[in-house]
Amino acid sequence: MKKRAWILGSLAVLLAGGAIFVEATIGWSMIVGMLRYDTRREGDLKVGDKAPSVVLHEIETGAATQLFDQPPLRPVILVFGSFT
Amino acid sequence: MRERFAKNADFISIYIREAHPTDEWQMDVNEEQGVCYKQPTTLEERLAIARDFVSREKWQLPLLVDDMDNKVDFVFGGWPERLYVIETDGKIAYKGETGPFGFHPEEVEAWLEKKFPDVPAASPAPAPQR
Repeated sequence: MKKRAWILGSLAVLLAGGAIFVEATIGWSMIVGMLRYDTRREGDLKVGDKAPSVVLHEIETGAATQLFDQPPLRPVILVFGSFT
Repeated sequence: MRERFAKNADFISIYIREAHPTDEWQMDVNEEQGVCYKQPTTLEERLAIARDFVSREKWQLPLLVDDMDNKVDFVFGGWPERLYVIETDGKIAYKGETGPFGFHPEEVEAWLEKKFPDVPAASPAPAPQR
């Protein structure tokens, strides 16, 4: 009985310590956000694949424009991202 | 890097889904900096946020915006941020890891340096004035 209480107590201390550590370092809101909204994926492409022809929009007009419908004349550096 | 290799390569930014909108996974730092937007549901909304971004950040690279079906993002795995290099044969020469931890512009710069060895090194930043 005493042994069981000791194990449970140790577990509780470990859990509490872990919870405090997570809050102090990453933060629980970050963990929850990551679990709910982290949609990182590798995509369908790898090095050596042909870049697919894609349709994007001009920022000012919203007009559709095509990228990689033919090989570029110079190397193209693509930077994916958003404001937030 | 863009200035250094401006004569050798094109730099294009692609605006995709918000990473940390207010109605999803908002970050404290965005709140502190007033970068608070809901995840857009229409192309017009996404374009408007992209324009804010260009204006507020004085963004210099050409910027194109992904459609609301997020097709380009999904195909390239661009979210939340990622770098690619597409060679002149139309093939992918470099694919970075996902950001923020795998976002390494210095790897792209190294690729460009190898491809264009004659381009002079970037001049060092001026020493701070005392």
